[in-house]
Amino acid sequence: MGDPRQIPNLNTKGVGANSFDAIVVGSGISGGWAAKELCEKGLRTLVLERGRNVQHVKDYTTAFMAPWEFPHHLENTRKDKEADPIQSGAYTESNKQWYVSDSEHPYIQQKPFNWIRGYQVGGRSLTWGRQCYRLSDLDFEANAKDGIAVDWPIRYKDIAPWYDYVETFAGISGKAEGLPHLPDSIFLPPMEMTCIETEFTNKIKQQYNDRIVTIGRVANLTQAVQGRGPCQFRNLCARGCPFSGYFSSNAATLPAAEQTGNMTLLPDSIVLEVLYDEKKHKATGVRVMNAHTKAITDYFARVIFLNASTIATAALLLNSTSPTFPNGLGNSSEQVGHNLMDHFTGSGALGEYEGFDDRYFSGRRPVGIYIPRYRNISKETARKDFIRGYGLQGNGTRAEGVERLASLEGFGADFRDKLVQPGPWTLWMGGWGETLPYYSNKITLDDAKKDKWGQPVIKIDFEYHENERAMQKDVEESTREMLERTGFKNINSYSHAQPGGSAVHEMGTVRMGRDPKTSVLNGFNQMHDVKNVFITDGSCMTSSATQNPSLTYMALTARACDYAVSQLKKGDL
Amino acid sequence: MKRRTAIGRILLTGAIGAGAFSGYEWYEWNKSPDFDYPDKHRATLAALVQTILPPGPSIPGAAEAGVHEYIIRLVKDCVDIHAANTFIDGLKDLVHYSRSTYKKEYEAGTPAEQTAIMTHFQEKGRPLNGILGKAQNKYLGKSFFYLLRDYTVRGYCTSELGAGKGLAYVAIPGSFHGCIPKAPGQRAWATK
Repeated sequence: MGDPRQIPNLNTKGVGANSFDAIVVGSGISGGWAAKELCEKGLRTLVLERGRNVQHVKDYTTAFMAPWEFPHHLENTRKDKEADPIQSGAYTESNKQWYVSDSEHPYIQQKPFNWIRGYQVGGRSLTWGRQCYRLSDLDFEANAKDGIAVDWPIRYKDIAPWYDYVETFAGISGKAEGLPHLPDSIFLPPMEMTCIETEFTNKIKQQYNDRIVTIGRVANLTQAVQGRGPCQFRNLCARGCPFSGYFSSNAATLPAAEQTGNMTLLPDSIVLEVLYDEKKHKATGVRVMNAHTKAITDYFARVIFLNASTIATAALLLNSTSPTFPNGLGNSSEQVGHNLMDHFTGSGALGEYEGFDDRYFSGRRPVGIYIPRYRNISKETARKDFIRGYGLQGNGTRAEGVERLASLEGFGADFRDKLVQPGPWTLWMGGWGETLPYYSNKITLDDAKKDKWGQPVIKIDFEYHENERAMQKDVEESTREMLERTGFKNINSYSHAQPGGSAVHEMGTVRMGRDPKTSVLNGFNQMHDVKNVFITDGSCMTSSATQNPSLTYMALTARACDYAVSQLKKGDL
Repeated sequence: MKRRTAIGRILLTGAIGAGAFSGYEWYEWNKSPDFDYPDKHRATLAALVQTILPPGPSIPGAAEAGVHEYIIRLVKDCVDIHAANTFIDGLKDLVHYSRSTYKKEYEAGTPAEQTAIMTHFQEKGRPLNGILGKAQNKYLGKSFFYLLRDYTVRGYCTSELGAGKGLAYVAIPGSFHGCIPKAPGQRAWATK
């Protein structure tokens, strides 16, 4: 298409006020990265965010509040729980401002699914868990080896330099372990383990030769990075950090984009559809509704990045119909909306440890420990009952306050004196497991039901299958066994069926692949069908792996931006 | 008292179907709670939380920390209706028990009388042992005494006095040390 800036326009803002080089839809983790990369490469970039603006630091209104300064000391009210039955499971009184209202943003659960959302500038980068783990070829080759779904169109060597690149900017603390299946990042200094975690780590090393325990790898800054941080160890990240102690779009990527002078950020802008030019076989722009006035405006650009989040991006494509794409933009494969994944959670174990009574810790560490995947990583660790594996996240600390109620009898002075002492050392571990991509796990649009902006309501149809259930059983057995073999007492293991979405790791509705017939995106996150549209949020994931996925979205985004700009310069887009 | 025991037996023996106890129990649990009652019995509630966590030479009690005020808000605004009913009905029971047994309000009782009353309610609300107790807590919820104790501890650990003087609270630690000697008299951290 021609340079849209050449088109005469009477807008008083000047020629082509609605035309840009690039449009980014969404300002969460991946959208923030797209904004930064495209702006830094000189593209005039429009960033569209459906929610309100959130200014870094200034809008973190609860960040310095002590528990007693909240009317209910952080408990959610019945009113909140009734109004937001799903989101209230994720928020507290201190950070509900970062979550949507369920009643304002309904969706249909064909089977129970927790769709946790944050519609604001920064999206869920404000509230994310911040753990960052690289994928490896164990993950990228898995589908091909198992003969399921489609092969990832990339391998570790393709993404490794981009992991380096994003880690250097974001800042990831952790410890190098040299594991081939969980490659080391470029690390800031690791956070310390507690006494019990170190003891557990050493005993696991003695007891097992197929697994290790390491400190969580986390986007909290143990040293200042580019004027951000360091982390103050308050563990109040999810309120927004006034010290810029962790990576968020608001703290890191959006300010970098802003600094170039190339970014136009429009909050309160709901993207309704991607506009498609039948003759040029390209997307020309997006149609946007103002969330408050409901006024509609079209914006145009040469390249479009969709980063609205896994489910919303798929819905946006499905809602963008045209004669060429009656089933949704770039959906000739009929894969858009399908293969929805999350990580299953809900199983694990906890136990108490005798000893170290004269030891304690200080500060509030915003991460726990991590046990990288140890099932199906070699011939020796192969399982008959399931494919793939899970990682364990955990935490070793001393029981305190309400945690001690079940074990303390009575009331009065003795009870009080015990209560205010540090309790026994305890260690908890839980599994975050790989979920396979099933075509039947999908999102679709409801034809009849509309939201308050007149947009079709999303239906989510998701369930776990035998492979996940078998793995979940193993998580419980294996975590219990580890605690037993390392000398813990009073061990309790558990396994609950959690609804999909509970890990808030939705992935896979617009998958990458080699073949346009069976996938939506190519190896550069470019739509097979519509070459100037790139999708780099969680929807692009071909398999879920076990690792917390955001770091991979960052790396894929930076890589796709580099590719898109090189294609633009060559005149190929 | 009798209700919990009876239902415990039902859970144990399956003697009657769920429908048989659902009518009256359902009403008791889901009726609109008498939220004004705790409000009007602030002094009693203050004395109750003080019995659970009394002041010591170097430690504030729960009433000084305002925990009773917190509990009134918590019950009115936060806890589920079933728990609110259990709590408020339990508080009513306790007020009547104090009047009928000691001929005075709880807050006017001697420490020994207060301890006796609290012990009475603790015993009355004690869950059965083992798996039955777990089922009891799951299906019936906790009894008044255990709710009161939970709410008191929750409120105390998150109150300014309780967190700051009863436990240890640092707003901005600035660093994390995972394994250090425990200082003499070190109190537990109020938050993690």
